[in-house]
Amino acid sequence: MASPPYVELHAHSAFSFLDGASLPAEMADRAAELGHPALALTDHDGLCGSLEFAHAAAAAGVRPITGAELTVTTAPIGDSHQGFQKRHLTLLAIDARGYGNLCRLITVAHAHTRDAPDRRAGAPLLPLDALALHHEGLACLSGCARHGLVAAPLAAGRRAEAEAMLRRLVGIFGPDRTWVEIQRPGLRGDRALARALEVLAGHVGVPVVATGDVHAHAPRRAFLQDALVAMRHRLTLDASEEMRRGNRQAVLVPPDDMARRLREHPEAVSETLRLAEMLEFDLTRDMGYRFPDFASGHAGEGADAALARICADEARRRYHDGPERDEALDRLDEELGLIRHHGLSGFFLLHRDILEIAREVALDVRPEGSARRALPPGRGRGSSVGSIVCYLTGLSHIDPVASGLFLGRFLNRDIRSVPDIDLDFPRDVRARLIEEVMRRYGSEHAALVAAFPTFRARMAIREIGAALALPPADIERLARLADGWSSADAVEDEIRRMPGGDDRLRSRRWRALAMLAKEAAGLPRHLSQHSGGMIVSATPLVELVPVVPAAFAGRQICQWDKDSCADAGFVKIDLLGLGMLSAVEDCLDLIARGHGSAPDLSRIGFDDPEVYAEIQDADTVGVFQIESRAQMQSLLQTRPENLDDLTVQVALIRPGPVSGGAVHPYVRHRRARRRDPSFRPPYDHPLLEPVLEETLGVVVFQEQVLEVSMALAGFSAGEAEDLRRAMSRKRSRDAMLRMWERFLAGARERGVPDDVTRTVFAKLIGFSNFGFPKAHSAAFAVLAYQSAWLRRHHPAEFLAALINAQPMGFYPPASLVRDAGRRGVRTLRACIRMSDVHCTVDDGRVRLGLGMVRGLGADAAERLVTEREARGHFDGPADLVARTGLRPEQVAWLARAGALDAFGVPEREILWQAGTLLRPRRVAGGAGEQLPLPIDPSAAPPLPEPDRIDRVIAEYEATGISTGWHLMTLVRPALPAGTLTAEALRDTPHGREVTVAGMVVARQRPATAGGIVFLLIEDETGPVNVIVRPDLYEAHRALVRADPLLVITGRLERRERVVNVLARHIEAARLPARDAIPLEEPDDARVREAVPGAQNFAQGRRGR
Amino acid sequence: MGTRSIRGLGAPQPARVIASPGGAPHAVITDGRRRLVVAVRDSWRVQDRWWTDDPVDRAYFDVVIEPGRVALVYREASGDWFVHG
Repeated sequence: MASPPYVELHAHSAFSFLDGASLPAEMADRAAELGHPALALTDHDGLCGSLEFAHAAAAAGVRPITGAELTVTTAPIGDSHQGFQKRHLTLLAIDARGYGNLCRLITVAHAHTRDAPDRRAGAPLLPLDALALHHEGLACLSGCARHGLVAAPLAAGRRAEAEAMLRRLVGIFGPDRTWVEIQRPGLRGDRALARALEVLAGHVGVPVVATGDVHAHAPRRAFLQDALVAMRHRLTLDASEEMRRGNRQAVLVPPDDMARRLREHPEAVSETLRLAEMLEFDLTRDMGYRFPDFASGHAGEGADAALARICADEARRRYHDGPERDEALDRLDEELGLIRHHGLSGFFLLHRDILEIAREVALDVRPEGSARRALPPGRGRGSSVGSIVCYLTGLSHIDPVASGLFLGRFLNRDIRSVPDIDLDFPRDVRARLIEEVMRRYGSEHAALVAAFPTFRARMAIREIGAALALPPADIERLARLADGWSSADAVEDEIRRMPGGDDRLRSRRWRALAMLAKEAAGLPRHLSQHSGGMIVSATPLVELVPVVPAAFAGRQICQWDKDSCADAGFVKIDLLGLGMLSAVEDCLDLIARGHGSAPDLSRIGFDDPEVYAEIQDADTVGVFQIESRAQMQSLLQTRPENLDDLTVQVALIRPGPVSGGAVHPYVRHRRARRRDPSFRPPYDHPLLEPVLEETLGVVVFQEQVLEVSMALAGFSAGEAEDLRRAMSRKRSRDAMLRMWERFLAGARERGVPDDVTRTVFAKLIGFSNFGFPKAHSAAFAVLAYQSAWLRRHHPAEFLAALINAQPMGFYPPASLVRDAGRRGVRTLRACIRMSDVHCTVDDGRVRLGLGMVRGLGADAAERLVTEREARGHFDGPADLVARTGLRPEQVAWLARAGALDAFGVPEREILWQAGTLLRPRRVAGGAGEQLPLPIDPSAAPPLPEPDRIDRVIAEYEATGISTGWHLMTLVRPALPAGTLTAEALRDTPHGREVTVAGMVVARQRPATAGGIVFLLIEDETGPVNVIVRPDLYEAHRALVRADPLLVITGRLERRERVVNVLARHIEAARLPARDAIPLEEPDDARVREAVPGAQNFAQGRRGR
Repeated sequence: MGTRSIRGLGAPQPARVIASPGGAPHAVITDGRRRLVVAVRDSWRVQDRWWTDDPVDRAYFDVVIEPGRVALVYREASGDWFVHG
């Protein structure tokens, strides 16, 4: 086969947001299919997908070329660009220097995108003058036919301007690095334009080069591309004709086809080959990033020596003389050797530095005298927890020698990517820490990691629906029907479900909606900040990856997401806020306040039988990581007995193990082992025994995926990383196919039968990257145990702390209060005299905080408490308003929450007074404040008192909690005869038909469950698990999705100790008819509104 | 890039066009006479309105037909040819 006559040097991926219609991997794979030897990715003003593309292309056998299409202006730097045109210019990296310059130029282009007062994102723009400062190593192509710097004026007949622009480019890049770009996009007039460009190029003395300006990898995406353009301009497709391309020619085609399309420009075509030769820079190889080499502060001491010194000192301090210290020092030696081998000493010192910053921030943030100040500022998780160097440098608080944890994945001899180090912080520390780290390392050396939110069903429907000019009401209805977990693939099904759905699909517009939503699924939408990741480098970051300002002032984001940062080998630091850490700290604080001192969590051990008894009974509401419905049902069967078991437990109930078919076998094997301690679990193949022994024969931990590939198929650590990479993105079928072939070949070499190989590989694919590393799990298991311990031994403080840390966790505060109540903890409603801003513990009872009252917020609550402590208790509503400036509705909410009961004034009267009392008003020009004219309270009209039912509902409305009756107590009289309580279910035998009712606490429809919906409902005696089959769900969708009070009839299933009701019939629970006072009678709608927010499918809980 | 006026700006008429292997028009048969296409001055694709009930998918050719008449011909996706002017 003759070598291809053409190389594409101008192509866009979906990282040209709302313009390119294909993922980088799709472009790469398609290019390979079509026989392209190389391909340049030139997204708009960014390199967001460039590393992803480079790896995908290299894996597919296509040489990746790195570049970008820059939006430029001829306005002088610093001047307003009003009145100046925006034009396009294509830049390609010749060498590493050029790449660095490209990053700098893109950074400059984005530098002012957040200058608006509200920091709303503006469009990037590069002043042409800036090119002169950063031109070396770059090839400059004059831009696309429509907007190119040279082509645009030429097309408009302004030849002199076009020539001036071209000469300006030559002035900057020189005639050896400037090309006139020739395109044939298939528009009227482009032939003449191309000819004129050739003439101009000849006149000025620069070569011409042909490009395609590709925007999609396949013709079907060209339809989406049209829609994206419409969306970008916020127009309908009908109205955006001028902005769109007008045809589907900007699609990747075989090199021969391009050569034919451009046959009138043979020199421009052959130049693509010559230019491609010149562009040697390979992003997967030549970036030039090195780990930071850290100065330790001791003059002349290198990083290796500094790290060794610090660790040795620390080891001697923490380990007593004897076998423990010997083992510690041995492991230290071994680890330091590995660390030296990989050149990572600076990396560890860097982390220690971050923790020092964290310590300072923590002291700053935590109040004087609080028990918190003695706590370490954060916790390490991730692969670091098995490392003794991490322990000694403070990254981890788990003693790996004592806990028997080993290095494992971390610091593997052949490792190609940098180890992860993740640090969890309580929320208060974390927010300040990010700022402080940014500040210390400076904008040249630190940036946040990017995230690229993708098109989800709801958004795709709304935006594409608008572009198609479909009726807004219909679109909205469709969007609402699409669940958080609906894939955009399924829009066609959703349309069909609509009334008249089949008819709609007869219309082209509706069919287009279904098709486009499916094509758009998973494409990146825009650049945003990743929640906690940041990268730090010694080389100025801005030469390695472009950096853009963030919405948050003072922060900046690099253009790569966490996968690309990992591929690039950046030191990535994840500073995560963990609500549970905040809760644990608060709990210790509360204990100290009540008892004088707090327990030392590092000394409580991990073997309290009472704690494990509760865990094994799934009595774990509020316990970190093991409180969810799925976890609880699992705990009843797996019955963890120690920290190792908890470590597996934390990792087990996740999409990875579930899809990988690990959960049921693990449970079975565990049961078998309980009955017979000598039980040996079966393995798919004996080669897997050493890897899977600790998890009873199944893959539970993320690194076991790689370890299995190494054990069964002989993958090297590097090949295992390739497998990880192939599974980490929207998966490329071709990449996975290549992996399978290698896997099969390797397994055959080891004598593994093909059917076994197939089985194991399928499990690995199911598991994919959706699991937890063991050391992550271990760190979380520690926190889970500590929370369970605190819950057991200090239940009141634990409850108060959990409520204070909301929103977090699986259960709304109302359920937490109920659960604690069943364990003997009483909760008192917020009180104007007794409450603090936050929840506190008073003589073993939890006192709700004033900050919980709706409409108040922390600020108003603070003011209130401060004023009360300064000048004494409030006499009454008038006094309260006068001294705190609370608004009438805030006083009303306090009253409804029961917080003003201490005033001894009927609630109606408080509300009346709150409505009529005025705050002091300033008189303009007056000497002082005009005092309010209080209206004599005794003149209030007689209103009936809200009765007890109203009080309950009012309290739910005002705080989300009832400290008195459960809502279901009010509803019970109207329930069908024979409705059982949750408690009564305990004595009901398996197989019996039952009716239960309750408040919905959680709704879940895991992707792994084949359409089954799990409901957790709660009545006044406890929770009930309900299973709703897909067909029943379809029949009662609205009810199941949205109604907060349900009556369920179905079959009771009791397996082992797990109890579920298999729903057969669902209806809404109605309130009893009331013949009470007409005024303010809580009606059905109001009651339903008052129910606290449930955990809804994948969206978590919405706080108030 | 001036154009000579196109006669008869009426609706496009079906045309019999003989295309070369590459797809460009080679000859047009009008009034029973076969006239050669002397030059293809420009060609472009219009592929639009695919979301409506009247989608467009055409290849246009701005041609000079002997003995020197300028015309606009296009080929629909169905393969049918039309001529403007």
